[in-house]
Amino acid sequence: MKRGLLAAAVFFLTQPAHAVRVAVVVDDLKPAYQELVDSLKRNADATDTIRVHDLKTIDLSDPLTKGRFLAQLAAVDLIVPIGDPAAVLVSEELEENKTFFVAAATLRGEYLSHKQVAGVLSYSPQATVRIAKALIPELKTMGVLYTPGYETVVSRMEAAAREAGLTLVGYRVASRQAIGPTVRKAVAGTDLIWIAGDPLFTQDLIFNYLLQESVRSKKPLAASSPSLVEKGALFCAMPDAEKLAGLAFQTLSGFRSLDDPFEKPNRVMSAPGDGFVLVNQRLAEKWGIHIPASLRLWDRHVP
Amino acid sequence: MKKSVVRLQIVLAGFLFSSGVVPVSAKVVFTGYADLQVSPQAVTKITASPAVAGQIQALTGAPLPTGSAESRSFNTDSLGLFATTSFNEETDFLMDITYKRIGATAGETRVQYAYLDFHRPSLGEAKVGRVTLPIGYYNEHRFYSFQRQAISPPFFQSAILGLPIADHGVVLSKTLDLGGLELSGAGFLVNGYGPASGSTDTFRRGLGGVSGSLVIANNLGNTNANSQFAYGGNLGLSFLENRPAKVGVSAYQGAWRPNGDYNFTMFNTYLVWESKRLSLIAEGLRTMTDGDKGMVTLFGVQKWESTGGFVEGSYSFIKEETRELALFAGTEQTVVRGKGAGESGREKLTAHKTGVSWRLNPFVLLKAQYLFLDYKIPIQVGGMADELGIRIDQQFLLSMTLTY
Repeated sequence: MKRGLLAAAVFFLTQPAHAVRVAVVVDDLKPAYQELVDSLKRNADATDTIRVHDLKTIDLSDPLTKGRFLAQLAAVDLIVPIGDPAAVLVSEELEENKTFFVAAATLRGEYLSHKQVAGVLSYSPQATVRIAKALIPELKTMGVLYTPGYETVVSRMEAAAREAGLTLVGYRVASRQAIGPTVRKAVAGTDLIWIAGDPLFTQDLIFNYLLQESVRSKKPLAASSPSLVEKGALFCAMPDAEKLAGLAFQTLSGFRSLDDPFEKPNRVMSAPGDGFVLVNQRLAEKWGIHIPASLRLWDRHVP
Repeated sequence: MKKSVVRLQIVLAGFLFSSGVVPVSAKVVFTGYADLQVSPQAVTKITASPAVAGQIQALTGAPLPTGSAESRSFNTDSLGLFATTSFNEETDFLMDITYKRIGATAGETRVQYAYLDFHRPSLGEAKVGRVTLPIGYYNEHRFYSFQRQAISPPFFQSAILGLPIADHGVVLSKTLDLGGLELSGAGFLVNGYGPASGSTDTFRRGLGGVSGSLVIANNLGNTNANSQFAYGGNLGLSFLENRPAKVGVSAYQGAWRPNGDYNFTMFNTYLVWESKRLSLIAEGLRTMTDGDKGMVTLFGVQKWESTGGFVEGSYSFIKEETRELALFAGTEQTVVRGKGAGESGREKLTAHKTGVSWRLNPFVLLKAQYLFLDYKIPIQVGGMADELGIRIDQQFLLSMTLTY
C-alpha cells in the first residue's frame, strides 16, 4: 500500500506544469490588436489555450448568456481584455480574476491597485503634458484630478511636467462627497485640469458638473477617453495602437517566467508616449486655441 | 467504507485535479432577473347556469361568484437567480432557482433547471440533471420575461400545462451545418410526469379534484409514479442566410400512472422567423391523456385530448445596441375534449394580446399589454355537459423586468 501511494505521489508531482488558459475579450478589434492576439497564439505553449470572446456577439442583457460567458472567463488563468469596454466589463464583473488589460482608459482607481491586475492604459501621461503645452503655450500650472489607485499615473505626469517646465498639482478625491470642494479648488489654482479615467469623474452627472466649472472659469479639461472629448473636454491623448500592442505583447510574454508582470511594482503601464491627439475642434475654435501642425491629430475629429 | 476504496478515491481525485479535468476551484457566477407586474385594471366576468353554480358549490364547498368584477393588482411575479460555473471549455454546470408569487414570503420556490452541460462541437451536447425539455420552441427560448416582448406567455402552455416543461433526465443534441441549412436534433430520456399530488389516478385536476377546490391550471406535476422513463425528441431545420427561419417538430410520451398503463403524449410543431426587427413564432400543440379520473367532472370520461396553437409576433421600430422599442401581438386558441363513449362538452380557451415593449438599457425592460381571454369549461351536470364561462374582457398589464 505504501509503495503504491509513493508511486502515485511521484507520478502526480512530476506531471508537466498546468497548461495556461487565457481568455481574450475584445469589443472592436483594431488590426494592431488582432496582431497582438495572433502573436500571443503563436508564442503560446502547445498545451496552452487562448480563446477570443467578441463582446459584439454576446447579448449581455440576457442573464443566461451573460452567466455562461462570465463563467467561462472566471474559469481561466488569465483574462486579457482589449479596449476600454472589455476592460470595464471585466473590472466590474470579475474583479478577483487575474487580468492584464490592454488599452483601457476608464477603470476605477481602486481596481488598479489590486495585485491581480496589470496592464497598459490607452493614454500616456507624458504625451498629455506635451499636448497641453502645445495647445496652451502660456500654460504654467496643470491640475490632475484623480482617485486612489492612480498614483503611478500622477507621478509619471509630474515627472513629465517638471521636464516641460510646468507645475503639476495633484488633487486626490477619495469620495463622491469630496468632488465639489476639490474641483472648485483645482479650477481656482490651475490653468488646465486633466481628469483620471475613474468612473467617479466620467459618469454624466459628475462630468457635467466638471464641464460647468470649466466653462464658467474658462479653464479647459483634458480627458483620458475620446467619449469625454465628445462631451466637452478639450483633448485626450490617443495611443499608437501598434506600439501599445507591442508593449503589451512584450510584457505578457513574461507571464510564465521570472519576468511576470504581476510581480512588478509598476503593474499598470502607460501607452508609449508618441501617439496621437483627439482635439475638440469646436471648443478650441470657440476659446481661440490654436492647434499646432506639429500635433498628430486622431483620424476622427469632434466637429 | 473499505480502505481500498478510500485509497482508490484519493488516487482518482489526484488524477482528476492534476489533469485539469476538474479544477481545484471552480468559480460560480450569479446573474438573474426580477419581474414586477402591475395590473391597473382587469374586468373579469364569470357566467354559469344555476345548475352549474350549484354543482360547483357542491364540489368545492364555496359559492361561485358569478357576474362581473373589476380588480387591480401589484406583484413581484418572479425573481430568478442563475448560478453558472464552468469546469473547463467543454463542461458547465447551470442552475436556475426562481421565486414566484412573492409577497411577505415566496409563495413558490422552484428549481427550473439544474444540470451538467457537456458540449463539444464535433460531438454535440449532453445535458444531465433537471433540464428544460426540447418541446417546441417557446419552452426553451421564450420562457423568461426578458426573452420575450409580451408580458404574458401563451396561456394554455403556461397556466394549464405549466411552463417551463422541465424534468429530470438526460438530453442529447446535435446540430449539423448542411451548407444552405442547419439541421438540429435532440432526444431525451427523463423521469416523466406523474399524477397530481396526493393522487394515483388524477393527471389533471378538474373541479372538486383531489384538493377539493377549483384547481385546473398548473397541472403538470413532476413526480414519477412508475419505473418507466418518458422519452421524446425535437427535430428542427434552420435556413436562409443568418438562419432567421426555423421549422421543427417535437414529441413527448410517457406513462403517468403507477401501474404504467396510461400515457401522456405531446406533439408540437413550430415555425419561427427571427430577423433583426421582426420576430414571429407559431406553434401547434396536441396532447393526449388516458385514464385521467380528474377530467370526469369536465368531460364525463377519463380520456381527453387538447388541440391548439398560438401565434406571437413583434416588430422593433427602434433597435439599437442597448435600446429597443417594439410592438407585439399574439393570439391563441386551444380546444380540449373527451374521447370515448359518453364524452360531452368542450373546453375552449381563446386569448388575444397586444402591447409595447421598451428596452431602456441592457438591464431594464418595460412593457405594457392589453389582454382579452375567453375560457369555457364544460361541467357535467346530470350526465350532460353544461358550461362555466370565465372571461377577461380587458386586462391592462404593466411590467418592469430587471436583469443583472
